[in-house]
Amino acid sequence: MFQLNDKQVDFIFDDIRARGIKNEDLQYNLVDHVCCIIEQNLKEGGDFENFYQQTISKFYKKNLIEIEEETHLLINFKYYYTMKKIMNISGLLSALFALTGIIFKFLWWPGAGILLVLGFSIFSLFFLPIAFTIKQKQNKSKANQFQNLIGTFCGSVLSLSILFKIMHWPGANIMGLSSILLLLFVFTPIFYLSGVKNEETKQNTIITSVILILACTLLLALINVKAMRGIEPSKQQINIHLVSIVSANELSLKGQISLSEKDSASFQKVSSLKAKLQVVEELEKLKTSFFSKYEVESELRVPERWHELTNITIFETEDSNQTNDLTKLGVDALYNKIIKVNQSPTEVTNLSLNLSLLEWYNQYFNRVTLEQALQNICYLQSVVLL
Amino acid sequence: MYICIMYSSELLKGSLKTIVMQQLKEHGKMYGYEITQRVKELSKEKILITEGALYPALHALEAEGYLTTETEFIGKRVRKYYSLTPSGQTKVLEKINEFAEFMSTMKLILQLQPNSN
Repeated sequence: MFQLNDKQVDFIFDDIRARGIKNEDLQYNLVDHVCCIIEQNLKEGGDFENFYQQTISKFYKKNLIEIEEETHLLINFKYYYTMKKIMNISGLLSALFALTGIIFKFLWWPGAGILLVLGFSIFSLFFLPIAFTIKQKQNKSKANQFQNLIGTFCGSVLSLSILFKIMHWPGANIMGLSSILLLLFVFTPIFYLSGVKNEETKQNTIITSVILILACTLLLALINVKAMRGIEPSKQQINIHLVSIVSANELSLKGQISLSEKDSASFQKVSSLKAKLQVVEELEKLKTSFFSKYEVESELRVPERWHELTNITIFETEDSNQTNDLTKLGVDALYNKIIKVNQSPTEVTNLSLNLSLLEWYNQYFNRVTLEQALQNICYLQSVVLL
Repeated sequence: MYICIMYSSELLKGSLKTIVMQQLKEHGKMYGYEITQRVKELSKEKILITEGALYPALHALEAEGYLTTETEFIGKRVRKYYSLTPSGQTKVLEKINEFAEFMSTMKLILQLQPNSN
């Protein structure tokens, strides 16, 4: 049996370190293991160095560091394969949902909203974070990890902000703006500085940085900063003005009626004025029916808060033979009173509104947000009151 | 990674942890070289656990909390003894049961005759 001396043990230690094994516990294990083999198998007075090289070469296929890599993989990547699977599935699902959602939105089919919400939220809440975690484990440098973190965060928030924007949810602007600014002033400089140093990646880094900056500034160019500052009050004011114009005109119509009633000669005029007033009142009732149909809370029914109703969109079937909700609400009856095709001026309006029933639906009530529908009703009231 | 010379490595890949843990269950604390020798002996030299497979598995089992270590200094060398933790004790029983069940299922699927000798 061979007896190793301290010098030989040190030699083995140094060699194993030199072969790239950094984990201390693994160093101890391997040194002890090699020592055991040598002591068991080498005859006394045998060639230590030669035997050691033979032994250690049986530990690996290409390099000794394989063992450390395998250890690292087993410890850290316990859930690696499950995570990769979830990432692939969530990626596929989000792409599928977002794509069908956007097609539905373009074709005005119902269900577009839910598909888009699913697509964008799976993308930003599952796919991106998991992709980030997997990437993070492959990246060893701290700078790269930080860059990944910022990139993932920006991507996630930006896509959520676009989702919020198209769903008319609050907070979209602040999310979008902050993520774009972060992308522009934090991510891009880090990305540029880390990539431009390396000759191999220099060209690609420059191109990608320019594209990033241009994409961010183009997105920023879409935001109207002036309008953003005052967007809520001005929208409120429009609706308040609309309603007050209608009620002022209605008041003056009522005044005209009571004046004319005193004059027995203008009997014809009174009945025509009363017909107008009736249509205006029916239009007012239509507003109330819309509120109850879409279950609008009573405090939201005032014009000051109509702008909050943009998340309700009115959808009806296009088949004119079928009775839909708009018919039930009396929109058909109003069509007959306000608009009569090929016969102008109509009984109650002095305007020629040459619209078919379907066009009437689509221009004023169908496929518009509830706020727009209410504004359209106000517009129609003003037209009748002219 | 490669485990042995007799059987294909795919066949043994999944059972390495079970083999190692079973040795620790039988003998209490053991060090790496000792485990390979024990398995070699028990399997009549049909299963040779390589260093490249054994140590990653031991480190992973330690990280998962199934094994605990003690160190012993032998001159300039440091020897790490591995032993099962309480959770490792339950895990090894689970693994052995799972393996036994797997074997009986494989027997049914492959229609193997029970070995008479």
